[in-house]
Amino acid sequence: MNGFKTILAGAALLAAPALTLAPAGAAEPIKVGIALSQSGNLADSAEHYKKAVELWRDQVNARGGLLNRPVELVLYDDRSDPATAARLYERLITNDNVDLLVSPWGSASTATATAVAEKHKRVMINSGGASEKIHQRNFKHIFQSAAPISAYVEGIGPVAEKFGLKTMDIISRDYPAARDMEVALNKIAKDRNIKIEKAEYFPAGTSDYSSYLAQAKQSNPDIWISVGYPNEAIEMVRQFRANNYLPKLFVHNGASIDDFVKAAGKDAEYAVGMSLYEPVLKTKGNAEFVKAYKDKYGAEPGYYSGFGYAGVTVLEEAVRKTGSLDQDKLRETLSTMETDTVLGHHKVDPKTGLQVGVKGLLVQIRDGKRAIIYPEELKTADAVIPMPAWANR
Amino acid sequence: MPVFELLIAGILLGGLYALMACGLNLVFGVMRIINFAHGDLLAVGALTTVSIVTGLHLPFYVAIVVVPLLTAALGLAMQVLVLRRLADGPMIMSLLATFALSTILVNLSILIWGGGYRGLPGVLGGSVHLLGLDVALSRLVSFLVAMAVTLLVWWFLQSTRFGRAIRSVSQAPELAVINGISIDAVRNVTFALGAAMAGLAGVLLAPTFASDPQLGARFGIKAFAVIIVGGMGSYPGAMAAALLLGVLEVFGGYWFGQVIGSAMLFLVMLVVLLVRPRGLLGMGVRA
Repeated sequence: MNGFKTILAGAALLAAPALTLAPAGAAEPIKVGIALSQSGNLADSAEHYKKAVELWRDQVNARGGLLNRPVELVLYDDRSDPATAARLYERLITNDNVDLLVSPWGSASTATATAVAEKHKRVMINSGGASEKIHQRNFKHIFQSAAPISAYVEGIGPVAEKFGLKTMDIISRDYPAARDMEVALNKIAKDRNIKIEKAEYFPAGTSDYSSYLAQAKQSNPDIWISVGYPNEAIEMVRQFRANNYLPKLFVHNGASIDDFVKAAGKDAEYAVGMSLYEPVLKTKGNAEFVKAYKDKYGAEPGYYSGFGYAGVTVLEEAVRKTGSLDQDKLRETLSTMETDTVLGHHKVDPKTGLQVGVKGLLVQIRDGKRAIIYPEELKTADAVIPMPAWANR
Repeated sequence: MPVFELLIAGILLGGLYALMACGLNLVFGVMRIINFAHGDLLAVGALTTVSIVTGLHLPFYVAIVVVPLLTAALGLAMQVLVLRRLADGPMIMSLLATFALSTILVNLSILIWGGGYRGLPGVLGGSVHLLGLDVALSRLVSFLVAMAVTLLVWWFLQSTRFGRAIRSVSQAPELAVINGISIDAVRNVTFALGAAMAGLAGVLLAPTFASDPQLGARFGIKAFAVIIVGGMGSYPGAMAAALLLGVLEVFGGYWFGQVIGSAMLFLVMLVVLLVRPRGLLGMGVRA
């Protein structure tokens, strides 16, 4: 019994300094609720998103908090399952009474989570769902800080025009993001007079591209563009090389992931990746973000982290501007607010909440690093297109 | 249509499939074990190869020697610790056990190598100009090795003393015991040999494909299709089936797209199961 009392007294002593450190007159923290995947197939990428959000919490508290109140995160694990995500946001809203909501990581969970927030008339920042369908449901309380799917490929048009590329083959893993991207590419092709000769989808698990290579050797498309997983990008360039084939421009979102350069080595050179965030970006606050992130976690932030950080930056700005946590007032602020984040300029369509400010990037692998080649105002190197033939490297 | 080019591509792809199927076939032929962990041993082989070549900066041929030995040891451990104890039980027991071992191997690999993708830049990366075509060097090598290994195993089983012992264990275990053959020893060696072949396949896949702990799931299923079509336990059958499936996949993909191309493999497998369940040249499954 005595021992127990000692422990209690000790705990009280430990707690005391923490209490006195809190900003004056602000005992009650602002609670920010997020459910994100800490297990399941999205756990790896969501971990980076979470790290960025936790970094922001520490930074905002070091700055004296938000509205003079400390910020506290309420985190749950949605197990990479959209139905679980919906249930957890129900709980965050009705049970935990959180003050602010940030979306989960990934379009699938964000689609269900945003529906719950809208039902409760609660503002939510969509910082993890790129799918444009999330914002085609007449929701009034959801504001996207993440880049929408169409931003991923918007650089293709200008780059193709600049280098006189006229034909394009879409050869992609069959999953929803790729189908969304085809819609965006079709629009670009129409506007820029590019001919899409083929849109082919292969099933998950495909590792051999012999039949596409045989076709491409005959039809010689200027652009070979693909959306999918990094292993597919690695296997495509290795098989290009092994078959002594190369399109003028090879674009794959997987080419902007670190694994691509490591696994494909010299064969990765001159491949182009779609990207939304790079640590070298000269966007507002990015240098400071990269430094703080490196100091805390010992590695550079990737685009998952960039998405997370941009989301909470927008949220913080909106709360400061509004001066309260009133959901209606916050909604009004967010529908017209423009600001700058590590991703770029944040601006939403006031009607749908769809992000319209953030620009997609194109990066090209040069000397084992990603160089930004689009947009012009952010570029760190001039594009080399057509990619030099294997024999001339 | 570039018929000749597609044919070569299909045959080379078939060579890869034959290589993957080889060890699986041996283990089934002798032990009647359907080894679900085969693809994961292959993944361990590929990832170890990457570590040896890009991590330790040793030449590729070191991996060709070391990796099969390593996976053989792993296979032997699986056999001695788990599968041997289930040898007399119904087939479903060993099937479930290899499924469990597969899950364990995948997760151990994630712990060791992480969840990302790795590769072997610079090893057998280029092409050779043969018969007017640019042929992938890595695939040509894999194809030749697959041929050699298949022939070697076949010769070993047909013509060596130990090979005959292995066959007698699979065909008439009681008689084998009477003749003084240690069934346990034969089974241990067979499983280790099968695992070594998975490792070798992993070494040769590493230059062509991206390697990750879940590689087995992408390729294992194709190896199963090969031995089902070829006939479980038959080496010439597996070789023929592998080449057939490779060629069908590439031509199917060219004509109808890769969705149909990949489906071809399984369509043929279904037809074989319905029409000729023992496979093209197989011995069939005995209860």
